[in-house]
Amino acid sequence: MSRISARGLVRSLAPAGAAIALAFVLTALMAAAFGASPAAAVGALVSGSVGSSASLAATLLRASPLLLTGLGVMLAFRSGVFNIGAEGQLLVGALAATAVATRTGSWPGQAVFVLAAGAIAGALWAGIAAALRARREVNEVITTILLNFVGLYLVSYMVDGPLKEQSGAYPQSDLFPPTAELWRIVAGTRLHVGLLIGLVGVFFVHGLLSRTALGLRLRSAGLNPRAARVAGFPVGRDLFLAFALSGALAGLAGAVEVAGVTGRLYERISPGYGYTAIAIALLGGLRASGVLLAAVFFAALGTGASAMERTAGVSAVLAVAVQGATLLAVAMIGHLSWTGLQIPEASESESADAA
Amino acid sequence: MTALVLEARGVCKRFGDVIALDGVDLTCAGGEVHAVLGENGAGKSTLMHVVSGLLAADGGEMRLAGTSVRWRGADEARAAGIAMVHQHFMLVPTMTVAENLALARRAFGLLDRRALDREVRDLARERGIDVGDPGRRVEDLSVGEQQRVEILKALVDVPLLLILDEPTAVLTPAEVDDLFILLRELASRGTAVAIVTHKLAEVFAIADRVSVLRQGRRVGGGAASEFDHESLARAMVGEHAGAPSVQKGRLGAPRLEVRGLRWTDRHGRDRLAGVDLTVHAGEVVVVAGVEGNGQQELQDALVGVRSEETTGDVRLDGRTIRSPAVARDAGLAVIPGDRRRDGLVGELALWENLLVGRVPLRRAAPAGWLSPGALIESARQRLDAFAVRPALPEAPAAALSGGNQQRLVLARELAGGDPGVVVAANPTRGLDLVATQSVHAKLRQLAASGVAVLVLSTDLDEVEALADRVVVLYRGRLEVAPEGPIDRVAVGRLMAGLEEAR
Repeated sequence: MSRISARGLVRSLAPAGAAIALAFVLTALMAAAFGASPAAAVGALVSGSVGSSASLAATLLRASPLLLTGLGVMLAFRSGVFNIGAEGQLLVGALAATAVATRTGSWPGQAVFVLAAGAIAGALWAGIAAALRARREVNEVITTILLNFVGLYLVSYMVDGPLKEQSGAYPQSDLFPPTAELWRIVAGTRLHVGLLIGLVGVFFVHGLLSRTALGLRLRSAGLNPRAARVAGFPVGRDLFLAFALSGALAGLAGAVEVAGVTGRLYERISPGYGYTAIAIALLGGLRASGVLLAAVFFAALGTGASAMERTAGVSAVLAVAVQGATLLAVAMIGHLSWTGLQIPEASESESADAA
Repeated sequence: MTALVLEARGVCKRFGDVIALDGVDLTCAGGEVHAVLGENGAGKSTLMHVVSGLLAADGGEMRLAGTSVRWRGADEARAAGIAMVHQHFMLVPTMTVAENLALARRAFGLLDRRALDREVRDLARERGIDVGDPGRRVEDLSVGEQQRVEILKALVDVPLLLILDEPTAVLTPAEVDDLFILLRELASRGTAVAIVTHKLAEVFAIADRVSVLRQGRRVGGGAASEFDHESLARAMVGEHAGAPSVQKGRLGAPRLEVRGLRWTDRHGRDRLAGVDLTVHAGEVVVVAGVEGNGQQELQDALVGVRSEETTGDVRLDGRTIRSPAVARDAGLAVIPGDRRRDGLVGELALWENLLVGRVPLRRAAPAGWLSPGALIESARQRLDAFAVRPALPEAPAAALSGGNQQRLVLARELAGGDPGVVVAANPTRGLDLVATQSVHAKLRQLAASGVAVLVLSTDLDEVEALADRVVVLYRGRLEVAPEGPIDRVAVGRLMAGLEEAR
C-alpha cells in the first residue's frame, strides 16, 4: 500500500492551498476595484459554491467533467505526453455518446453504451495525435490543440446536420431517451452517477500509476525517456496507451456531461472544461488526489461566480478574471516548485508515487 | 623568450570531496602555442575554466600581463583579454553568422543588416579568418566553419590569451590542418594560445610548449621539442607496476557479433566507420578509447538504439538486435556510460529504479501488478548487497552520490537473472578503489561463468585490470592492440591516434 505521510500530503497540498488563498485575495481586490464590498463578494463566492446543499450539489455537478478531464491530462503529463487536447477529446466523446443515445432508439442499459462510446471516441481522437507523434515525430502539443478545433467544428457540423433534432430548426441534437440518461444519485438535485465515475477514476488512475508495471513504465518514460528506451520498455506502445487512456477519460467526461446534465448535444456544450483540466492537473500537483481537490475548487469558483453576480452585484466577468489570475498563480507556483524551491525531500519513506 | 601573458601558480579547485586541481602551475607567453595534455578527468578543462573565469579557484594565484587578478566571472576575464572557445559551441544556430557576432559584441537596438555584414567581412579579413558569407545561418555551416565563427567571435577584440578546449574533437583531419595554420598565424601576431587536448600527435603538430596533467596535478612539461612520443605518453598515463595477471576463462562460442557497423551523423561524418567485433563466451574484451571517438554510438548500437543512418549488424547469440527490447530479451545487461541519462530515472525511488528494465520488471510483476511492500523489502537486500549508501529503497535515485548511483545501476543490471552479454561503459567511473576492484572481480566472474563481457573504457588501468583482448576505438574505427601482455604505451598511442595498427 502506498503510505501517505503527513509531510508528503503537506507538500502536495501546499501549492493548491496557496493558490486558493491567492484567489480569495484577488477576488477581494477586484471587487473593491469594481466598487463592491470585498467581504460581500468573497462571502457570496463561498456561500454560492459550498454554502447550501443546493449550491454544493451544483458545484459537484460541475466538478464531474473537470475531474475526469483533469485525470486524463494528469495521466498524460505523468507519462511524458503533452496532451493539450482534452477539450477536443471531450467534444468528440460527447458526439459519439449522442449518436448512440439519439440514433439507436431506446433500450435498457443504453446509458452504459453511451458512456462507452464516449470513452472510445475520446481514445481514438487522441490516437490521431499519438500516431502522428509515434510515426512522424509531430509534436503532440500542436496536433492536440489543432484537433480541438477540428472537434469543435465537427460537433458544430453534426448538430446542424446528421445529428440535428428531427422536430425543430435549432442546431442541436434530439433529447436523450430516458434509457440513455445517467441515474440521479441524490434526490432533489441533478447530481448524477458521473460524479461517482469520477471518484472511481481517481482510484483507477492512482492505482494504474503506482501499482502496475505499466504505470512504472509510463512514469519512467515521462521522467526519463532515454532511460526507459535503454531499459527495453515498449515506449512506442506505451505512448499510445497513455494517449488513449487520457483521451478516453476526456471522452468519458463528454459523454457524462451530455447524458447526465444537458440531455442533448449542442455546439457550446463545454465551457472550456478541457482547457481548465490542464490547470487542474497542474494545480493538483499531477497526483490523483490533488486533481480531485483542484477539480472541486475550480467548479466552486465557477458556481460561486454566478452567486456573486446575483447577491453582491459583482459581474461574473470578474469571476472569470479571478479564475484567470488563479491559473497564473498556479503556473507560477508550479514553476517555482519545478525549479527547485521545493520543500526538502524527506529522507525517510515517502508515498510511493511521490515523484 | 617573449613576455609572459598568463602566470598561474598553485591553482587548486575542489568539487565536493573530489580534488580536480591540486596546485597546478601554468604559464603562457605571447606568440606561443601551449598545449595542455592529459587523459579524461585529468583536470584540463577545469584548469581552463578557472583561467577564463568560469570557475572560481579555491587556491593559488594568477597574474595576467604581470598584474595579479582574481576573476569574479567570465565577463571580467574576457574584458581583461582572456577569450575561450568551448568544446561545445556557443552559437545560436538559427541566426546568421553576422547576427551571432553582433550578439558577441552585445550590440543592442536596431541592427543595420547590410552594415553589419560589411563589418563582419572586414573583421574576418583583418583577423585572417574565412567565415564565408556572413548572411548564412549557423545551422547551415559545417562544424569546421562553425568553429571558425566561434574563433572569430573570440577575436572581436584581440585577446591576450586565446584558449581552445579540445578544438579538434569535432573536426575532420583537413579541418584540423586549417585550424592549426590559423592558430599559428594568431600566435605569430603575438597572441598567446592555449589548446587543450588528449592527443599526443597534436602536441607535436602545433605546440611550442606543453604541460601534462594527471589526476589534477601538473606532472611534467616544458618545450615540446624536449619530448618524444614515448616520454609524453608515459607522462600522460603514468608509470605503473606490471599488470596483475589475468586469468583467462575458456573461450566459448561467439555470443556478441558486430558486423560492418556504420553510424553517420547529420553532417555526414562517420561516427562509426565500419566496426567489426566479436566477443566470445568467457572473455572480457575492452574497447579502449577517448570519449567522442564513437563510444556513445557503439554503446547505443549494441543496446539496439539506432539512428536512421545506422547500418550493419549486431547479433546476440545469433539474434539480430534492432531494438533495446530485443536486446534485453536476448539477455543483454547494460551499464551505460551516462548513468543519469541512460540508466536511471532520478525522480523515482531506488526500489523503482531496480525495476527500470524490461527483464526485472517482468520478473517482479508477471501479471502486471506491483506489490510495493514486498518489492521494497527485496530492494533493501539488493541495495545492501551492492553497498548502495544510504540503502533507503524509498529515497529518490537523484539523492544518491554519483558512485552510489553507479552501484544502483550495477545492482539492477548484474544481480537480476543471468545476462548472456554485458556491455559496460566505464563501469567504475566515480567508484573508489575498493569498489572498483569489486566491480572488476564481478565482471571477471561473469566472464568465467560463460558470459561475454564488452567493456568500453577510457581508463588504461581498467584496460589492464580487465582485458583478455584490447581493441582501440579511434575516430570511429577499431584498431587491434598488439597481441600478448597489455602494453600501456602502445594502447595509449593508439587511443591518441598516433599509429595505425595492423
